Amino acid sequence: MDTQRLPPLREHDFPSSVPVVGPLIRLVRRFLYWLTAKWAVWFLIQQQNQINRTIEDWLCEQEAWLVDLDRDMTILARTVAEREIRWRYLARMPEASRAANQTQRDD
Amino acid sequence: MMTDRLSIACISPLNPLRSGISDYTELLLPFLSEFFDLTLYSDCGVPANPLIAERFPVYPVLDLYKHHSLHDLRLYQIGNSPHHRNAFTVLRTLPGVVVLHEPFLHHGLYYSSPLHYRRELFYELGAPDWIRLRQMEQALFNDDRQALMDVPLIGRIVDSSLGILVHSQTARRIVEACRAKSAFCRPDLPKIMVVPHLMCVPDSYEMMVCRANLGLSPDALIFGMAGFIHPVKEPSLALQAFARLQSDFPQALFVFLGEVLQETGDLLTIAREFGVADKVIVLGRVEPLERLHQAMSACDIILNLRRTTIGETSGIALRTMALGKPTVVRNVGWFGELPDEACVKIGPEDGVEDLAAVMRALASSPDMRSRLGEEARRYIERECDPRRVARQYAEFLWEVYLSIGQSRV
Repeated sequence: MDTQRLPPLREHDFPSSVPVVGPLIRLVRRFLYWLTAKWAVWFLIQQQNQINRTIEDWLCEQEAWLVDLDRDMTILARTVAEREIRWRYLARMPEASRAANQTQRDD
Repeated sequence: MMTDRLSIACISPLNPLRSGISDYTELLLPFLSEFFDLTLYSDCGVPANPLIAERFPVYPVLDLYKHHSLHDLRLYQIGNSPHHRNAFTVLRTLPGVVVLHEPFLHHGLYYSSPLHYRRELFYELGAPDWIRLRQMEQALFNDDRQALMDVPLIGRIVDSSLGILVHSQTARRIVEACRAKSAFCRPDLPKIMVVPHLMCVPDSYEMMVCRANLGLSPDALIFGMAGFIHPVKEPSLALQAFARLQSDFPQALFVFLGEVLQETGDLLTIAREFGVADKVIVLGRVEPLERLHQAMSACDIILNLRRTTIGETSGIALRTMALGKPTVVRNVGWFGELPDEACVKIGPEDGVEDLAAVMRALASSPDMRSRLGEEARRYIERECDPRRVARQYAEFLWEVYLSIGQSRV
């Protein structure tokens, strides 16, 4: 069994499309990010990845469970259909026997 | 045995929904109504066939949820097309007897609803398998029927149905293989029976009159391909083989009598590649049925090839035979079950040379064509007579009803 995995969260790379000085801008942004936010964000990413994995596992279990339920439902539907036929068959019996008795009396 | 009539709910597409099953059901119903009280459930709106509209009550398929207790049995006509969308839904909770026109439902389920497709696939696999889902979707888009046949998506129908009718031994084997894998099937359920596809033998048409109506030359040797023109019917191979005949039969023409599906591509472009564009006529969908019969009657030989069968029965091949036309098929699936004397078979893997040889043999022998045509027509009269088929239906439905009614469930 395989699940449809979400890609793990990653830190932003701070790209810049400015010509010539773009790499420098990127470096400055990364430095500021490293200085001010990196560790807090890193912990948040780890936590969120963990939450995502837990939810994925849970959804996967639910999906497997739904398949099981679906199978149970199919068998129940067949059983109900059989009961329905049986009930209709029995409901017809008095009519059929009445008709047969009537025929005998007429004879 | 109880002698009163059973009330049967028939769930099927009907014209104007364009489907071979619509035509099939409309042909069957008058004969089946000799045995049962029929109520129709179809999403066709008002049936295009006035005989059906006048004679039978017709409700939308989802109304069966309200009315199901009024019927003794439900009879579903199911095929591989999204026309059965609501029937697939109702079938999940209200099972009955299913006529499986193809034991393969990938396209029908996917194009009904991708979500339902996923549900059916996981049901059949027994667990959610996302990698397999991706593979199946890819195979579906590439129309790789061989890969799809591993999981025909009939698992739920096999598990839930009280009876299954199929049209060939090939289809029966596929259903039985699925039943053998199921954990839920009982030895007595579902009952499975092969009932031949029905087909009326139409009136004979004068070939020259038909040709004159279509503006075709009376002296031409005409090859045809009819029905939906899909790549599995190998139109490209047929044209390639046809091109090989040009030196011996310069008067030969190839006529396509049917809707050309998008995935087939432009037939005239393909014909141009083989240098026969001026010998190919694409008529598109030919309606009504009477006109299709006339157009088919204008042909000398009709090709009904299949590369990768999904266990289906071909209504158009039977129609060809009913018209007394010689037909060329591959020796695969249901086509392989046709009697050898009623059609010409090429091998499952035969290529252009083999097909060209068969086409050449037929083209050069009017006797052979006429003999095959007569045998084909006799086969249809013998095996596919709607009255006979309706009787087989009736016997099967009574058998299912009585065996369940009298059992101690």
